[in-house]
Amino acid sequence: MKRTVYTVERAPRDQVKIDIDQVRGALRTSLLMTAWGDHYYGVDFDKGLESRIFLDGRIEVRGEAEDPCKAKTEEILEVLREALGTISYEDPVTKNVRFEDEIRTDIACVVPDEILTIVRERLSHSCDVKDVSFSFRKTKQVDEVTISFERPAYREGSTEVPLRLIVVAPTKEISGQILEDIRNKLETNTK
Amino acid sequence: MKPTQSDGQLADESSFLHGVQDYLERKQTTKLTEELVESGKELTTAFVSLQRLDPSVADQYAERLLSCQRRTENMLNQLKTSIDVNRWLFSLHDQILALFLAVYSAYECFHKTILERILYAYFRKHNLVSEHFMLPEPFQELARPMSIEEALGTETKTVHSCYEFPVILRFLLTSSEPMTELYRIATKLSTIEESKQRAAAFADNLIHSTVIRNRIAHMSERASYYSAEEPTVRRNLQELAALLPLVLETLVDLFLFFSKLLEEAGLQIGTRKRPGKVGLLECIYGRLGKGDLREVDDVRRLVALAISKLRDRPETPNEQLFVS
Repeated sequence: MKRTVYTVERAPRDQVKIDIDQVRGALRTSLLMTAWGDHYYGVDFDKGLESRIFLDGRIEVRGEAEDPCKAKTEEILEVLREALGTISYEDPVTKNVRFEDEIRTDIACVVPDEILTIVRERLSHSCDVKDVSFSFRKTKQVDEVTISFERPAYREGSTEVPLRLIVVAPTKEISGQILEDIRNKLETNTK
Repeated sequence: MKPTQSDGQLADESSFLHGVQDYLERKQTTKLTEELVESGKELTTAFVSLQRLDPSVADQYAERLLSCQRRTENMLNQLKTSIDVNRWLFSLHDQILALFLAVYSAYECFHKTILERILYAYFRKHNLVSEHFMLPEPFQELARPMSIEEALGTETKTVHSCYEFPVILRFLLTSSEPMTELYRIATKLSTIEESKQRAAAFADNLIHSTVIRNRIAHMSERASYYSAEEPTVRRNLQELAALLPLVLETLVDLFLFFSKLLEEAGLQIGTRKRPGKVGLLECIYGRLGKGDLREVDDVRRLVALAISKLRDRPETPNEQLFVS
């Protein structure tokens, strides 16, 4: 099943220090957000949005469309402003776009035999590839592209297997194009 | 009496429930419960083979975890097939609440019977106890020199007992090199620094899971929590559904990490406690320890004598047990 997930971020302007823990009550009452790890977390099931507020004040919203994510950052900001007074935030920006699709391919097209042989020799001859992930980063820039293959239905011994291909890139265009190219390449090789 | 809804409201609820189902599936909730069952089984099997857990108790624990898995599957099946939204919203709220209570009850069993004992054995093997802080029950026999509050620099605040285990774990994971290294191996991370960071986040999540447990326990004791008012039910369901995968993931990580910790804890095959006076005296004997004080050695000798007498002649009167 195809899926696109946008991650929209909104950061406090420089010099702004926000103590999110101070407003934990308001976050729960108004947004149903709960402290979790280094952030507050909540899910809006009506809009299909996952929200996080990090302890440094950053707001992050994930969802299948860009505009509802941006609108949600505004809603969160309103609650923060109501609880903390006037605070200054940057405009929302799309941090990355994640594309997911199901493909079928020979696993040998993703993992070279040489690597698989090493792992089998060191670990077990019966072991097989589960998930694969690659990360790429532009020199001296924060832009990153991650390509991963998840193998949800693991079947021993099969060569042509269903995989979930996931591409995370800074824009919709880049991630969509990379996903399409990889799928075409792998499916052609398999045929 | 449940409120009636217009068609528009029903459509809203249907989309809401679909959102819940989609989220739980995306977060692989079913797979998480399977992993919970498997990782829990690994721990109980190890404890049974060490003769530290009765096989029948191990079966009970396995059944508790399986019940969490079945409840999750049932809930997801209902979400897939729900037609009468007016009915399912309430039913799902009850189900997810019961599921949380089942998950936490399983955690409680493992925590008290298995996890604390592994941690305790690890402390003893690596002499970590007296270096760091005073421990709660059942670790007090090696108590010294700092309390948790002192160690964390929060002397004025008291750490509630249910937070002691995760707080101790966090402190150790971030301050003890061997423990951080072990976490690195268990989670297949490449650097110690990364391991320290991830271990702290893992322990924080365990603390947050405890906060959620306490909140649910507190809220679910209030009559208003069971209000038939739709917004209340919806709100509770939304909060619980959002947190379920996070809590499950933390417990799976906890069990997997403790399986690794068990390998390093050096737990020996346990001796089953005997019932009655002999069992009691053996327990006292085991706790006396060998010290520099001659008085302790004298007491040990006398207790050993009493055990020997009871083994030979169980009917020996109390007044003759400690007489040479």
